[in-house]
Amino acid sequence: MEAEARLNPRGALSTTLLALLCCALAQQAAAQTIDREKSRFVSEPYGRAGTCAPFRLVFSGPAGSTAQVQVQWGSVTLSRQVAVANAPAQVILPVPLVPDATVVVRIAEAQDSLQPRLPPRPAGTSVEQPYVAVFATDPLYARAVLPVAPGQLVADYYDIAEFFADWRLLDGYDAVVIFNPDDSRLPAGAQRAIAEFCSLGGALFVAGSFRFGEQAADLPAPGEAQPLEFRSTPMLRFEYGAGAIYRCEYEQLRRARQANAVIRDALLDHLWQGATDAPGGTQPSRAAPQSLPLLQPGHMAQAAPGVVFWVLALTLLLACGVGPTLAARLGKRASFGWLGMAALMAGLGAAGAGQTGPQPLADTWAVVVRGPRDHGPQALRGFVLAEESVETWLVDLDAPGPRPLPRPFAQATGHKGWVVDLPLARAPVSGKAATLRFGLVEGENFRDFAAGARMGEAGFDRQSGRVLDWWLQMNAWRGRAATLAPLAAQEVPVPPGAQERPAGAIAVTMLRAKGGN
Amino acid sequence: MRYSPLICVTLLLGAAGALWLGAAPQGWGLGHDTTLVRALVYLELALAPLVLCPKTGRESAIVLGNLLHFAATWLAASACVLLFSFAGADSPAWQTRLVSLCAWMAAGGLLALGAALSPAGPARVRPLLLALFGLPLLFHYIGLEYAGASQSHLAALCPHWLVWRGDYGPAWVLMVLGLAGWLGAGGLCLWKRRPA
Repeated sequence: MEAEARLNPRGALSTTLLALLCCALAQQAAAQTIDREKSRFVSEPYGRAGTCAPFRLVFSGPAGSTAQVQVQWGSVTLSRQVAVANAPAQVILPVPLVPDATVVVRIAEAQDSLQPRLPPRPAGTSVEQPYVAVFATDPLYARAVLPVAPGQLVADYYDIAEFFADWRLLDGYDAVVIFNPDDSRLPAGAQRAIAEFCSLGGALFVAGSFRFGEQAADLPAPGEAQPLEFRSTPMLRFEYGAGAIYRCEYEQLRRARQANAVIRDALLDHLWQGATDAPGGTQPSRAAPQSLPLLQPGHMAQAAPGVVFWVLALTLLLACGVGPTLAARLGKRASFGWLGMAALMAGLGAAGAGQTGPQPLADTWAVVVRGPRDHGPQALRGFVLAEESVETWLVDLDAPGPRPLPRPFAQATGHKGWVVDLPLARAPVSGKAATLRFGLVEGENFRDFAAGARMGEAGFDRQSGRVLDWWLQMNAWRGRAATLAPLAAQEVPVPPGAQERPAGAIAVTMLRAKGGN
Repeated sequence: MRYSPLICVTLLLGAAGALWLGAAPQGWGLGHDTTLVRALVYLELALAPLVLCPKTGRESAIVLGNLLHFAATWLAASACVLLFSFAGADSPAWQTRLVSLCAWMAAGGLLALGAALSPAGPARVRPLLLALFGLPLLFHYIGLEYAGASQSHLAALCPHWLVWRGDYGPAWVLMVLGLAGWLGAGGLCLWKRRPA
C-alpha cells in the first residue's frame, strides 16, 4: 500500500510520454536506411532531362531481409526486390531526370525515401553531339581515347564488368561504345539489353571482341554486314531495326590517328542516317515529347445495372415513402425516427457504393519503328490514355518478358496519359507504305498529306492519321526520309487493371541517304 | 417537409432513368458511364437549396428535428447517387461526397437560421442561397468576357464549380458557412430562453 501511495501520476505520465517519444525517435532512426552520401546518379555530372539515367542506390537493412525498392514519378512506379546481406546493399536503378522523382526503400515496416539530386550538366539533344555510354575494361583509358568534347560528344564512362542488363538504364543515351581489347565476356543480360537498346533506334559501337555471358536465342538476328570506312579505319555495320551495330578491330582503332573522330563519325553515320550533312531539327530523344498528338479518347467503360441495383433502388424508394410517415407517428420521439431513417439511408448508400464498376478502358495509339527488313527487330512507342480511376502504372523491373518503360504526360481532361516505349515489339504491316523525302510524301506537301490522313484518306484511318500527322510535324525536317505505313491496331502495354482498346497505329522506317537501306 | 427524402430520390431516379433512355441531347455527351453519375451529382447539388423546408420556430427540439431531417435527406440523396456507382470505373459519386456534404450543410444551416429568425425566413434565404451557389460562376464568366479577369477564387462558394474542377479542397468555406448557420440557429434558441 505504501508503494502504491508513492506513485506519482504526473511522473508516470511524463515517463510514459518520454518512452513513447524515445520509441518514435528510435523508429525514425531505424527508418533511415538510405545512404544519402553514396546514393547518386552514376552518370554524373551528365544526364538527359526527361529520360531515365542509372542511379546507384546504397542502403542498409537487417541481413537476410528483402527490400522493396521503388522509383516513383507522377503516375508511374518502377519496382524491384533487393536481397539485403551483411554489408550495405547496392542496386543500380533507372531513375528519371525529372524534379519530382522519388526513390523509396521499404524493408518490412520501415520505409525511407530520397529525392535524387539531378546531375548538374544536362546533355542536350543536338544532332551534332551524341550522348554516349562508354563501357571499357579500363574506363580511365577509355576517357583518354574518347574524351568529352563540348559541342561534339558527351560521354559517361563505366567498367565493362558493370554492363547494364536492362535497356532502361541506357534510356538517355544515343549510343553505346564498348572497348573490349582483352576479349572480356560481357555480363549475362547484356545481349538482351543491347538488342532492346538498338531496336529502339540506338547505335552500338564495338571496338574489339563481342562475346556475351548468355545465350539469348529468342533475340532477332542483326542484318547483313555492310563494310564501311571512316578516316581510313575499316569497320562493319549491322542494321538492327531502327538502330545499328558498328564493329571494328581494336588494333585498327588503336592505329587510327584520331580514334575519337573515327568513333564519332561512325555514330553520326547512324544518327544522320548515312548523310554527310546534319539533318534539320534536334536529335530524337526518348523523353516524353513536348508536343503530343491530339488524341481523342473514346467513350468510357459502360455497364448495365444488376440485381443489386434494382433491389437497393426499390428499398430506397420504399424507405423514403414509409419512413417519414412512421417518424411522424412517433410524436415527440420523431427525432428517433429521423435518426433511424438516416442510419438506413447510410446503410443503403454504403451497399450501393459497394457495387463493382466496369474495368477502366485505356485507349492506345502506336508508332512502330522498324528497319528495312520485313522480319527484323521492331520497337514501339505507344500513347496511352486511360480513365482517371487507373491510379498508378506499376512496372516490375524484375519481371521476365517484355520490358516497357512508361512516362507520364497530361492530355485529356478526366484521363491519365502515358508515353510507353517497348523494345523488340512485333507488328506486321497491313497497308501500302508512303515515302517521305524532301518534305514531300508521295509528291504532296507533308502537311497536306497528313491532313488527308486525318480525314481517313491515303490508306490511313482517322485515328492512325492523328498519330501520322504528329509524327510528320515532329520529324519531317530537312535531310530526313522515311517510309510510313498504316498498321492494324497494335497491342500496347497498358497500366495494370486497365483494359486495352487499340485506336490507331503506324509503322515508320527511316531511310538512309546512302547504301544500307 | 416530411417527404423531402422521397422527393429527392424520386427526382434523382427519374432523371437517371431519363438520361439512361437517352432523353438528353447527344451534344451533352452523356453515356451509360461515369458521365451519368456526374450528371446526377450536379442534380443532387442543385437540389440542396430547393428541396429542404425547415420547420420554423426557436425551440431546440425544432432545430434538432431540422438537423436530423436534413441529414436524412442528404443521406437519401447520397444513397441514390451512390447506387449508380456501378456505371463508372472511375466513380465520382464517392469522390464528391465531401463537397456534397458541405453544400447541403451550407444550405441546411442557412435555411435553419432563417427558420429560427422568422416564419418567412426560409422563403427569404432560398433566393439568397441560389444566388450564392450560382452567381460566382456567372460573375466569373462576365469577368472573363468583359474584363479578361478570372474570378476563380469564388469557386469555393459554388459546389458545381468545385465538382467540375475536381478540386474539392475549398469546400471547407461552405462547411464553415453551414456550421455558422446551425450554430446561429442553436444560439437563437438559447437567446430566446434567457430571462428578460
